[in-house]
Amino acid sequence: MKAPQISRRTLLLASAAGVLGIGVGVLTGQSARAEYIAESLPRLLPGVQIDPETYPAFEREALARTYRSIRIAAFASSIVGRPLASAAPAGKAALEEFDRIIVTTLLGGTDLATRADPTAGPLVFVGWPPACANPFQRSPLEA
Amino acid sequence: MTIVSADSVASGGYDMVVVGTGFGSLFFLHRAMNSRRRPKRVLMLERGRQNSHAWQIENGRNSDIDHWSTYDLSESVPKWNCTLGLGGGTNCWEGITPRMYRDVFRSRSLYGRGIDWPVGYDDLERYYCDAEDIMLVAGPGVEESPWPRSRPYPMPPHRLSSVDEALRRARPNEHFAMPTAILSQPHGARPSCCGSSYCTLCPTDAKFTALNSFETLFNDPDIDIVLGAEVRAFDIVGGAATRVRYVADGREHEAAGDLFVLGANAIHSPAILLRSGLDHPAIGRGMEIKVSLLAQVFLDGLEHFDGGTMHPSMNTALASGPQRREHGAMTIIVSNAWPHGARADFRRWREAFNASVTIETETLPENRITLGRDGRPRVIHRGAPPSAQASVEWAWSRLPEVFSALPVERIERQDVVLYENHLQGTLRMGADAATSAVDPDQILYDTRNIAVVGTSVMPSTGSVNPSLTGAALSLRAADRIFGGAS
Repeated sequence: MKAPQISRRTLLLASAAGVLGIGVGVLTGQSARAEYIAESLPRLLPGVQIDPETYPAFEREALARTYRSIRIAAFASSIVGRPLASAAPAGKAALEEFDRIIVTTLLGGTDLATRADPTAGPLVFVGWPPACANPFQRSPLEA
Repeated sequence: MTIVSADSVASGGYDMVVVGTGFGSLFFLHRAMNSRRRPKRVLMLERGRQNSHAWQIENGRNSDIDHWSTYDLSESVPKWNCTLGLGGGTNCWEGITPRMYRDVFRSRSLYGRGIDWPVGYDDLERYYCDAEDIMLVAGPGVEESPWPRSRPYPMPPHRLSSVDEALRRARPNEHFAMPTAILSQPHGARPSCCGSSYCTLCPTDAKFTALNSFETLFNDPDIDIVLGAEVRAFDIVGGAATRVRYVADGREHEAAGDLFVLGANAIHSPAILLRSGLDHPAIGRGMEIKVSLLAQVFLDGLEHFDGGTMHPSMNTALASGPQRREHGAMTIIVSNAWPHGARADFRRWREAFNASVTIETETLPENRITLGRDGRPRVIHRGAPPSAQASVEWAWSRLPEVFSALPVERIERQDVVLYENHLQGTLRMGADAATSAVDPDQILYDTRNIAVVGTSVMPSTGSVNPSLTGAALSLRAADRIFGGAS
């Protein structure tokens, strides 16, 4: 009896599914996302430094604000790089959302929003703001 | 608060028994207790418990009850949300209080589609004003309002964002400050809005809730409140309800009454009637849904997020016009929620905003509430009807024109979502007893001493948040039954 033949296409699909499965399993880990944050900061905030002592708290907060599609996209980015990972619309949207999370975490947790020069000295992350902080809201007394 | 145990409920019965403590029930009760024929003894039955504002903030939720466990959603695409607890939806709502557009009440007559309401805008106008006064709504001046008004809002409007100001300057008849039941000025012990973008759990209690505004009802010695009371059914004899049966503390109880006011919500209210043996074909039929098209607008040089609340403005450019012959009503809402709307580009964080177009869809009778084998409500809902897609595409095609007064770089389409927080329909009002559950005074056609209150009676959704209209309808219904103010 002849053993069933597996086509090259089926093999490739199975391999891809396997890699994807492993990826989905691994993505619950934080390393890919933490790596994405570190690599993205110079692109998103050129010349801006973050106080190394408070950086871990910033990273924790940004990671906590991510969700499933972002985790998958960040993992894909760690494997194939950001340009390829954002080639598909879903990946692009997820990574852009991750970029926004990184930036808004700093806008909310540091004085970045109100600095005249964001590059003048490191940002100190003091924690995600209490619910009442909109750094851009005008005072009622302001015209 | 006059909370009593189920065991101490008066055996002699009540003038009025109220089921549920959300917008519909409490505004009805408020007006009834201030009417010429004020009921002498009232029983209020609430399935949930009292979760104070402090409790809600500390626990990050509005109720200690998992509402999803109280109904079967296995055949429903939308995963409906509600709050089971004292105050009901007044706890979790976002405080947005637009009125229904005038033409929504006459959609069928004007556009040949949709449903005509048995009451019109002019019938409701003074009740809208009364409800806005009770909620201390902040809104634009009479001349700057998108609706005809007989009285000014009780509070001045919240601050518009820079984007809103540009839109309003260009088209003052289309762009307006959003009316909200969120204080724009301190009132008593409650501070004004802090612009938090967390309105479902307002951190400062600036948002109207039953807990912060209806103390007089909760402390009224003529009103007994039983918490943790799950109403099962009414006893109906000869076309009239005689008793309500409920479970509290693991045991069955009953209470007699002359008038029963049913304001559980658009899922639980019809289920209670179905469990009571009522089989009118309109009971449970036509659960409504709105859809929302989400977009992000990227700007060149104009900054946003400096508005006063989470939703500083609304735009009516797509609300009325010849397109209404093909599409439902539409409302554009500009969001001030900066963590979700800011862009990532260096130093251009504020040059963007999120906008949503809320779209009314057609109501389909197959979307309905039935009873499961365990007696729980079973929601059967297919989600947005197929016709909604054309409306979404039309709205999307119009956005460049709507925002043409702004320095728009690009508009990105994000998503289309279902409005799962607005439970509407299922006990719709109408002048025809054969096709409607309740009459224009919100009395059940089948049982003439049960009044239905809340958004379940709305014949159509319109494109705006329904709570204010639900409250205004309740004030009107109470006036019709109790003869107006004392």
